Amino acid sequence: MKFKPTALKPLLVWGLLLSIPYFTHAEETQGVGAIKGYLLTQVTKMNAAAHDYVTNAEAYSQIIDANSGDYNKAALSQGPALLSLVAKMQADYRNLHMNGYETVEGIAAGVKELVQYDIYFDSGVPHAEASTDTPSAPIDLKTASGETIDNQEGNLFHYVIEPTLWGAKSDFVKKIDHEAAQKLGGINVLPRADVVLASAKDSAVHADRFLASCQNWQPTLDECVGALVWMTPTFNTYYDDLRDSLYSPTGKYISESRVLDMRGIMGSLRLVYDAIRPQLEQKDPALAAQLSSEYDGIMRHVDETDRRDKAARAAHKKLSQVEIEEMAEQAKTMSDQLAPQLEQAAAILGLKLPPKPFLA
Amino acid sequence: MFALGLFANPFASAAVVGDFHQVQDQLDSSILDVYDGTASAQTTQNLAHSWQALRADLLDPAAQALVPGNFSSSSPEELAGQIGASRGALQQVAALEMLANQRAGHVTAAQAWRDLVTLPKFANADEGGLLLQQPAEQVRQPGVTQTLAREYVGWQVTRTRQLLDALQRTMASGQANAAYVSAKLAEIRTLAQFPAPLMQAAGVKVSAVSGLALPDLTAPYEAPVTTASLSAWRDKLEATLPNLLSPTDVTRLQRLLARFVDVIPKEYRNGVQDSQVVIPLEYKEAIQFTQQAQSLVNELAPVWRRDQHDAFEKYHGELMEKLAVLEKQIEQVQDLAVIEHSAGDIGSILENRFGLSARRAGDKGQIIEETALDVRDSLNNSLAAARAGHWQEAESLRLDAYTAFDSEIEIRVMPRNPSLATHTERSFLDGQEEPGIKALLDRGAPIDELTAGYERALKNLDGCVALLKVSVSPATIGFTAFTILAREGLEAIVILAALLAGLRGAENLRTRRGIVQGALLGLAVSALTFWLSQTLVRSLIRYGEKLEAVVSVLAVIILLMVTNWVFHKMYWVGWNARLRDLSKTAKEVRAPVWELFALLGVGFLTVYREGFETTIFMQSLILEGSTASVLLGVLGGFLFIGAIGTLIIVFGAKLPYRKLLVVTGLLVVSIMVTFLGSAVRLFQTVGWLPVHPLPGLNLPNWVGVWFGLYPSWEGLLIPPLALVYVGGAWLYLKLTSRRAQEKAPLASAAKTSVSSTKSPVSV
Repeated sequence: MKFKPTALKPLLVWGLLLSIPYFTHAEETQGVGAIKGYLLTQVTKMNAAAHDYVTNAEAYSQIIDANSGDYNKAALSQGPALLSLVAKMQADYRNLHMNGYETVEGIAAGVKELVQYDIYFDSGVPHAEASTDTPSAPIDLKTASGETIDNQEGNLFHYVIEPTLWGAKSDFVKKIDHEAAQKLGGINVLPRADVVLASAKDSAVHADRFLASCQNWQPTLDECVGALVWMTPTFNTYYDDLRDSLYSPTGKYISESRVLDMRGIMGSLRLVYDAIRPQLEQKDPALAAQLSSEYDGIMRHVDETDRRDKAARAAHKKLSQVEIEEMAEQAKTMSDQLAPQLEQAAAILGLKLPPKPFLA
Repeated sequence: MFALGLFANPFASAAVVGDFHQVQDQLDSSILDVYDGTASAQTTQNLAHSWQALRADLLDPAAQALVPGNFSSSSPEELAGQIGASRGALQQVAALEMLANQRAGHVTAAQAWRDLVTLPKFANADEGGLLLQQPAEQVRQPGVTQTLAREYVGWQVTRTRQLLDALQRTMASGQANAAYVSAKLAEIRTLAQFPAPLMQAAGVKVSAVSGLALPDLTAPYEAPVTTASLSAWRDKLEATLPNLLSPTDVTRLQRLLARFVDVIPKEYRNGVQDSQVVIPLEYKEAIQFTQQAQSLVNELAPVWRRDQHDAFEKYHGELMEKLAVLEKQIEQVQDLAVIEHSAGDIGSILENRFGLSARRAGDKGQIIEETALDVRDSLNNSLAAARAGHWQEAESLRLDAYTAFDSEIEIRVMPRNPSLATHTERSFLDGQEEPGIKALLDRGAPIDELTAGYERALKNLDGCVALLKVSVSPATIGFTAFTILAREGLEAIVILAALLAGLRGAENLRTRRGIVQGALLGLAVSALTFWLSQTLVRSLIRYGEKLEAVVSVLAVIILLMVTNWVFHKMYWVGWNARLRDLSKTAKEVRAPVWELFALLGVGFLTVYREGFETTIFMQSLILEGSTASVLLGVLGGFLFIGAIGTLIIVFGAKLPYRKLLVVTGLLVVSIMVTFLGSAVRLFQTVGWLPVHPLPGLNLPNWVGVWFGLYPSWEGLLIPPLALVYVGGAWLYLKLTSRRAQEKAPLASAAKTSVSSTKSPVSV
């Protein structure tokens, strides 16, 4: 029997046809795989910061304990060490929050398996303010002094750690006398060691769990587009936080400019979009370009906000309320524009958007 | 040809999107420069350059004409105004280019320009988007032009209002400065100034906003005089906005507005206790409903200006002012009484000046049926929207269902079964033992869980509707109609029999005939009275349960009069004696005409007195139930009294009248308790009496149906007061009678009456 090369043609064609789903799937996996890779890198850093926070909190507590819980005595005897530890813990918090969690918030808060960590760490409100669309944070800390800090307080980052380390919540700090304050360069409050230690240990426990959940998460394209649909429209709300951080004496959002949070969140969403863009481009290049251009616009807007915020700080001023209002309106216009287009993209890709993630 | 089209299309270069975004970014950045005081000549140059670059991309001469010339940095306010106007113009440019490309069949370019248009929040962009998916030849059709143009006009009218809302809020909060106000006013005016070609394409009347001068607002911008000036300017601007609402839209929006205002104090009452927010969801909804009511008033303003001009001129400003005050009061968590007062004022303006009511007018049974249908429809659509992943639409439809339920069904169920009313209401919100629809939507629950939540709400709704149907049971109504007619008819028969008994013999034939004719006349006039009162009630039917409440009070008064007889012998005796006197006088009168008139009068008064009471009472029954069941009861009553009358008057039978009257009297007392309960419930339904539920108390439906008792403090305590009254009256008469007998044992006025006439009727 003589071999006929043409007989291979149908086989070749079928082979190519049958391989399309594989390549498409491979491409998809590659896209969402990149998202998971990024997530694990960032959460691992966050986790390290949480454990470092525990180390520093233990050292801080040891100094306070060594002085029999007398903060004045501790300040007088080991003031520089205390200040150094407070600075280290503040740095830990920045790595835990601004450089850690906020860089993945866009993903975590938009994915069902991970949203519980968003509520716990960053977005849960005190129980008294909670409703079905703004859940409370289920925190439950036991301090060494036997005190319980629970969901009456709000989330771990903005209602416990930040106001404790920056001395903004009187319940969580100890006021020290004039003499001791002089030893600390005029600082007249110190974080309560028991609150610091309890919050540090809790953040480490939950960061470990968060990391484990991220490792177990098997991202899908539906989920990733869902995260974009749910999280992108929240963009303008971060300007309320910015206003709060500058004008509201609530003790929240005092450690750093909220612009860093915006960059982290929107940057992570941008990354998610980049991962799905190749699939969309195959189906609707115009829409893919449009969405890309709009995410670029959002990132430019964050940069512009950052530039103006820094310029104001450099001039020892604050952004005016009108400026924040204007920037919030611009952000809102951008996110309102994106929301229906993202839904359109999901429809074109034949995706079924998952429901809004929530702490069940 | 397609290739040529693409070549001629500036989008072939793909630079247009970049140029457009360049202008947009430049505008965004420049306005912030103005606000922070860093705007310079460079800023104005950059603005002009970016616009010129975009101008080169434009096909449409009208769009080219909108490109601004030079920018001036002579004052921050002036530059801010120019930037604001530019922002508005940029939208109009995108729309004109979209249409120019659509008409030319440049589908991709038309799509791209359309994508550049800024959308309001939750915009629906489906229709135009689908049309632009068609082949070029179909895309070029004039119908597509009109759809795209109308879609755009609709978006920008909404954006204009959203921008106005934002400006008003920023000014009221004290954050605005001169440049901000100048920029926003200019943007709003330009956006509202739709270019004539666009309006023609949309097929709507060309706007006259170009002649509208900007208001002269000066700091402090939160001052009442300044905010009032802005409101006045807004009114003028709103008058120029094209109205794209269909009559159905207008009806729906008006009803929604009235419902929002109706529901606000209720949400507040649930969410706030002692000026503390206890349920944040309910409190937030009170704020949200107030804001949505303001948006609806703005949206309806052009329609009212056209259709209800006088009311609009006189009360629109007041309405907006009161809504703004209400919002502030809620934000300040003021006392519930303050909120109720403000919301009540607003509701009165809507109802009395604009003819809008949260409640439907007409037959109650029909209203309940229609509302239940609406609620079911909205819930089913809401679930379908949620299934499709359209969560905002699902929430909006849930809100429609909730406000309809609250206004028409919950308010009626609350006095009958507060526990069911509250449970059902919560199933639309956060739920009680299990999550409610709002809670499920808020967290985008899985479809199975969501479906179960909707099913729970629908089941509860069915329970409410069933309860309302039970309470208007035809059997109850028929029995009550029968009892009242039998009772009143029996009274008339007994009196007539007593009168006729004293007029035996051929010599009294004429007198007897006169009385009987009078009685028949009384019957006819009673029928006429029934018809007249029915006509009157029908003309007032739009007042729904308010009318029912008033008529139910009349019914209770009539029942009090009727039951009075049972224990107040003088009432019966006096009336009977008066009729006898009249009958006697008639016989003694010499003039035959006067005699006939007097005899007719005796018969007429005997029957009509009872007939009048009965007809008025029947109105209450008809309102409560249905005409058919009342007529059935009336028929039974007529058969009963017809039989009794024949036995007594024709055959002279001696029946146990006293026992019959006492039995029917006791029935009437029980009916009075039921009616008082019903009147309390109606007063609670229309808000004239509060509802204080008794937690944990559930009464079976028949307790309400037969005894008029409902599970609230008012519903349980007030109806038995009827028994207290009757018992008290009976005791009082017993005591006074005994005292009278003790004083003059032999002198009994009562004995001189009925029994002394040798009548067969002994009472």
